[in-house]
Amino acid sequence: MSGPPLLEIRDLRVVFRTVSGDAPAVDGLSIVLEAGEALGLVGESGCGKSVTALSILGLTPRPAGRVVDGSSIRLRGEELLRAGPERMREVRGGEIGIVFQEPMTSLNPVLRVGDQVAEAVRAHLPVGRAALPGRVMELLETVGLPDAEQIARAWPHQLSGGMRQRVLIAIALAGDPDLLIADEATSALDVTVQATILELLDRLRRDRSMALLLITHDLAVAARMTDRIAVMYGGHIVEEGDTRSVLDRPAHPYTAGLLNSIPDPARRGVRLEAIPGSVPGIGSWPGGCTFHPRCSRSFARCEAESPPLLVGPATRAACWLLETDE
Amino acid sequence: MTGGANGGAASPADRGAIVAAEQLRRSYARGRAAPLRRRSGNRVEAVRGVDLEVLTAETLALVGSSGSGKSTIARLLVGLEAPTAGTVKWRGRDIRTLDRSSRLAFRRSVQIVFQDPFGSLNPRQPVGAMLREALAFHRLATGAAANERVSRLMELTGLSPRTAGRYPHELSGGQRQRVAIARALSVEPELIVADEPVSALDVSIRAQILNLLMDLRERLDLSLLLIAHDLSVVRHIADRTAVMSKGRIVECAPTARLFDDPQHAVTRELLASVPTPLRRFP
Repeated sequence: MSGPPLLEIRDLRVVFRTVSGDAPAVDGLSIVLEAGEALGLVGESGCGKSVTALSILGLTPRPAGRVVDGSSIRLRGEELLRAGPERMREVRGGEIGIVFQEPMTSLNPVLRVGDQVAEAVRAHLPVGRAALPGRVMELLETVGLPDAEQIARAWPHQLSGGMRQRVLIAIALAGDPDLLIADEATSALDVTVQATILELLDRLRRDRSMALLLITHDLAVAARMTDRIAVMYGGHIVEEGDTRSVLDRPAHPYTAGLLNSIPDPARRGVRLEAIPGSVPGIGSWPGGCTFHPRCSRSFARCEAESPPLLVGPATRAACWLLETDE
Repeated sequence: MTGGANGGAASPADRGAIVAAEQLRRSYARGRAAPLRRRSGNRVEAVRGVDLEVLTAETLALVGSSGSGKSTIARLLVGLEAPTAGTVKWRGRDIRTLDRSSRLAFRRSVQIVFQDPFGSLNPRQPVGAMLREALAFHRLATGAAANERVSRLMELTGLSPRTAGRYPHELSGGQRQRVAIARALSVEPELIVADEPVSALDVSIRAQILNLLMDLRERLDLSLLLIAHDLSVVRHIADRTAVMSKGRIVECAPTARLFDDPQHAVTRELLASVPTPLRRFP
């Protein structure tokens, strides 16, 4: 039982070089993911979700982006930020699989689908030439593609968005990963297709006792898929807790605001309680609590000091209200 | 049943249609064959016989999976594309037979807002100039009067007066969508066709734009044809909802009824696919 967690990120800071100096994109993010667990990383555009995913894989865009010293990303205790390029190639697609949002651009347009899956298998598993086609078929069938042989011979452009996303999941599974990162993996898909892909991811995770880091802007998707939710704003976690608690008893005004932005069937036609203002761009994050300019409950301290994660009634939230209430 | 003799709310027929599609069809030449997709000759039928009316001051939603023909209907109804067969009527008149001045009036009466506010705004034109151009084209106002109208439009859509001097790239996604809405409103239309107006926006901004659309339709007695795939949005603001599948409308009903008692299998599947509603259980 004990031993280091599957993935442990401590105080991750990533900065991007801009004309006006280094701008933080991830700013003190810490999360822990245990084996087999499904964690939802939820946030709006520009909050640092995708940069976090790229950092885990050692793919931070360089030289523009840089992981700041003092950050730590450990995989079963092994510090990935100090791992060499060869080790990282093993990790990517080996221990950690990833599925990105763009099913149109993530596949090589001039390679047949089967060859692309085979390439991923060969890179990570000692599968002989003879056994390779069988393994490819198996993977394509695992992700619910009917008539795997025909799909293997197809070119990416001949497949629908949902089928392409299934192929990408097959590729992500090729190395039998312990952790699957899905970065907005269903956001570009139709609701009906999205539902089937989510179902697939959920089934695969359970069948393979694989951990899932689900990165999404959609709280409803996270609600359906995860055990725990971490809400990101301004480069770090502002609230974290088990999924039901975050949805039912959010302590951070931002989480509450996101939930209120979702139309409630019981209150048809009523004005939504929108969060005022807009998400600040990278390089223009305010000091103190990054959410305070948009927060209706902010007070002097919020402007001055950035709150750490504090224990709230049901969750942990980075909000000074938790110290003043009661 | 003509006239308002029954005293209650006007029935749809009484309110009159702003635009109406009659047996609308639209097909496109097919590109290189796609072996894994079903083939039917060398043309794709995007819209296959659609009848649809948008009534005065109603919000009608058009939902369906991608490729079902929603956006094609939008383009046909505003006259951006011509149907292969069937007619689009504006105030009862076939839009192909309109004379020059009526055509201009039709263009003014029916406006469109697209999903991607960046792609639909001229990158080299400041916001104020963009709005003044629309006003000048329809001879609604020039000079000081136009500037006056521009400031009112910005106020109406929740933009700060400074935005008038800004270029689209200087604005956030939400601000750009407000500009697109302001431009549509500038010519005082009767109907705005909004093709996925909030789906490219962040969750917290989405609610602001939905509130804006709800405010505007009330204050201005505007009709709205809302094309959306987010059913929670549709449920929240649409009076009637039409469900499209494979180029046809398979079900059209008052929104509450459609959600409570879906009749068609496609509608049921669509409703079932929506991720679990939040906080259903307190």
